[in-house]
Amino acid sequence: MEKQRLVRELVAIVGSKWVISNPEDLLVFEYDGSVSRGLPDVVALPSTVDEVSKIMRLAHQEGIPVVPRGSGTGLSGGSVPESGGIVLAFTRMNHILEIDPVNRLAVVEPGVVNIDLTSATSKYSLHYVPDPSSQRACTIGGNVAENAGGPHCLAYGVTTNHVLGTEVVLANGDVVWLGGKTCKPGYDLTGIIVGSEGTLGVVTKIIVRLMPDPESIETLLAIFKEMDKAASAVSAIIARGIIPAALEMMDRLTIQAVEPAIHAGYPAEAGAVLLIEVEGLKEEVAEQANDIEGICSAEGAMEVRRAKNALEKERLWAGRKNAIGAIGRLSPNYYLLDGVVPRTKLVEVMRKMADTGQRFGFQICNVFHAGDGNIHPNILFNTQVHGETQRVLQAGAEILKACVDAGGTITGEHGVGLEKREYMPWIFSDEDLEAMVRLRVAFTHGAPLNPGKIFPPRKARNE
Amino acid sequence: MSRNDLRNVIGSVLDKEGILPFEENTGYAIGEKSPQIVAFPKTVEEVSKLLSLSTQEGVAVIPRGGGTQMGLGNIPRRVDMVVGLSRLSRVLEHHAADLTVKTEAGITLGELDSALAPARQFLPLDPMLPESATIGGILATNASGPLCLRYGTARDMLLGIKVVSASGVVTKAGGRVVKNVAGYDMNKLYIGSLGTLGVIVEATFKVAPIPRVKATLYATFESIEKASDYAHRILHSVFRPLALECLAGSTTESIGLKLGIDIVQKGIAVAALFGGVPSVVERELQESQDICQRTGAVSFVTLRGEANDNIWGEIRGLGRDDKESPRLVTMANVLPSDAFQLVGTTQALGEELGLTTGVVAAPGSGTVRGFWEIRRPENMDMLASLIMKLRGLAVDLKGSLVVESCPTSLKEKLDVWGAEGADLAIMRRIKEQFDPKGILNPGRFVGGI
Ligand SMILES: Cc1cc2nc3c(=O)[nH]c(=O)nc-3n(C[C@H](O)[C@H](O)[C@H](O)COP(=O)(O)OP(=O)(O)OC[C@H]3O[C@@H](n4cnc5c(N)ncnc54)[C@H](O)[C@@H]3O)c2cc1C
Repeated sequence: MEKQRLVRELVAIVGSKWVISNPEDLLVFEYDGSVSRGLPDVVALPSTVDEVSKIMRLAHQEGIPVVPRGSGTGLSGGSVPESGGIVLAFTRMNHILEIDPVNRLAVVEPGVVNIDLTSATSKYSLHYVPDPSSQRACTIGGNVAENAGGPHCLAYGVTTNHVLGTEVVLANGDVVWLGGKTCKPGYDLTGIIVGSEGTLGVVTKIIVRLMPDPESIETLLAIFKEMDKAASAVSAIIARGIIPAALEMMDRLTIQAVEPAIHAGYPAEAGAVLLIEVEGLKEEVAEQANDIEGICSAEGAMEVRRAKNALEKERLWAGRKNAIGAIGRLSPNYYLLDGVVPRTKLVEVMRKMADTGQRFGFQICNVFHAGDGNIHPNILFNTQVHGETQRVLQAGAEILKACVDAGGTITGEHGVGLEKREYMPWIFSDEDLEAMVRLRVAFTHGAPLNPGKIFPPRKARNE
Repeated sequence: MSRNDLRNVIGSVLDKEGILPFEENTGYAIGEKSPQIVAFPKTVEEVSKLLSLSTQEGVAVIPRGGGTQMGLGNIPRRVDMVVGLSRLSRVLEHHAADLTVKTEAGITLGELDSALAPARQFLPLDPMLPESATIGGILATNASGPLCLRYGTARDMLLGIKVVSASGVVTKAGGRVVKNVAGYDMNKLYIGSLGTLGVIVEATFKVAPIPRVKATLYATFESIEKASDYAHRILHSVFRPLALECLAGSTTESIGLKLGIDIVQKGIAVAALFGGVPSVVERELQESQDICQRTGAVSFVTLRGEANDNIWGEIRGLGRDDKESPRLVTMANVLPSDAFQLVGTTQALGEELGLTTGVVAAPGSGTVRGFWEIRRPENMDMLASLIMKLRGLAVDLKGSLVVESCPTSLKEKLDVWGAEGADLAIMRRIKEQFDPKGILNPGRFVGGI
């Protein structure tokens, strides 16, 4: 379809104010938080499911690619329109439709920003568990598409464990509810939509589970000279049968980046810190906090701090929450990875990673969800230096390969997107990928809904 | 293919113990349809060969684990071959320090838990009959029990899966790490798919530490309103019970009798299971007793040790199939806030018809099960109308009702799954993609899938 006609049709659906087609204005939609780039032909900002359905039907008739987009904080290129087409931005569909404190659930539109949901439910002493570090910006729709995690997902699970149902617009414009407030017989299509990176359908409403706030929370910060010791403390805590609500780690370089910015008082010789939070009834929290303190000391912690009040808790978390920002100040660019390893393999993989960094001559900062074995190496680099982007991708691939070799995987929460599609054959056979493609065909009949994502290009062609 | 041809072809794939003597096949009938052959492969390769042959020859395959849920679902359109997974029963990897386990699918939950026990770990799923139910069967039926209040269901603990497709292709999904978003979450597809998309041969789970102590507060009330008030207060307190179930009608009496403990056998009972650190459990028990008093409980008793284990074994087992006295078991799912209302109406409806009626509900999740003894076969029309009425009530409450177990003659009168939703079209397309010839459990699942 000719672009001007497409724009006219979209304007007829959502109104001229909500269609962006100006080349300069489109630039904002060229990228997300990853290194991928791709310019859309046009951006539409619908406000109702009906508008979404009409847009999808139009795109389907004309065979135009559609790429859903939340806030664009994604780290794998998920909302980058590699082959152009329509970007469907959910900025306007940002209403919390219902909070049901008795049944502990909420119904939201996909454009609701993660933190706004928890703020809205706090008056009922309820909260929405998945708390990505980007929660002030990212949307619930984007979280559903990526099956996002966060520091507090260790004990209570990631997005998929908290989504009960979704209203979905299929590639042909049909609107269906998958799942719901109550359990229904049939295939778990909600479980399939979550984590499908916007390639199976466009999510227009989400029913989420809410959790009651705990009676008591203890926050501890354990400081270690060596990363190895911190990593074995992580294994020791889990092996003891304690599943903290959060168990986060920062390494030496990250600490050095964070300290000047937030003055947390980390000792200069600190090689790693663990931030640990336990929650529940006050008796068990006290006991677990004592156990954790004991384990950390036994594993050689230089110091274990405990927050005595909310203010101190905020201070202990400040380093973790501002880490990515602080790393950003160390270098013009950083490349953020998202590998997962069995918790007991942390030490081994961190060593291999340090080795990769040295060989490529890159500095790597680590700040991550240690309790899940979900590592986030940040490789510092400079796009202005010729060839460095290519080399940073190579180093990243080598680290992810090390994760896979240790029994882990290439992504724990950021998704495959464009960035890691070529690595999928490291973990999945042709037959495994084939099964996923079949599932996709069942949903889309091969329509170009968020094309190019997840599957290695060779595989996708077989659709 | 004739029966003899089929036996010959299958015989070339399996060893002698792999095929059941023909005379015993009737014991594996489903919906009164006896299979022509019952096969027990002992490796994934054998399962793969069986299925690829079946797709080639159009043989209808009924996968089977421990046989505890063979009554679930509609009567299959065809029953040619039962594939029993009980010989695939090894624990493959237990990474105790990672709290993960990988196992073959034919192992029973009881055996798996015994293997985990030395590390003081367990798989926190508690469907009925854990000594016979296999992991594959539990996954395929998405079976869970009272513990789902605290631990969730299979979808919250399955990390990876290996499946043999209808055409015999072996595929895996997920992995052994606790977070993983590489590709579609195919684990979710197979959970609860009742063997209609593939045969599950291996599974990897996240396991949990066994709670240090466990105890139950068993309280009885004279009215549903009072029981509801109590349960609501517990569920909306800061406590985190492992399970909380409400019993009404004949179940209250039978549990009292079976356990031979001094508990009141009338009215509505609420069993709350607490577990974890001793100091916490004692506090939860103490404060729950105070709530009992405030909400007017008729009686309450604390059960520990063996008495505690027994009561939950009984509650879980209420739904089991009994060949001697066939029963009707229904499972409704409604909003937690509507659960007690449905308990009341379920009991009233049964009593109106002069039937012995038992009810067990999990007000935390909104699951309400009804149990009816079937005395005379001519009751079938009455039971069918009872089911339709109950289903209507559940649907009015925006829920659903599934018949979990009933005699074949009743199944012929209704669809055990209930009305179909708009998402059925997608489910049908998935089935076509994964089992184009429709050989796996044909017709047994939702919408005749
Ligand atoms: C500093 C920083 C920290 C981060 N920390 C975390 C973290 O702790 N944990 C974590 O999991 N992630 C984290 N992320 C990654 C990112 O924030 C998440 O992936 C988030 O879920 C993306 O949400 P978004 O609204 O920005 O979605 P986008 O980036 O706009 O889109 C992401 C994907 O969702 C799809 N999509 C969006 N809306 C819909 C919809 N309505 N229907 C269907 N598909 C849709 C898009 O097509 C795309 O594939 C972080 C990112 C940054 C920049």
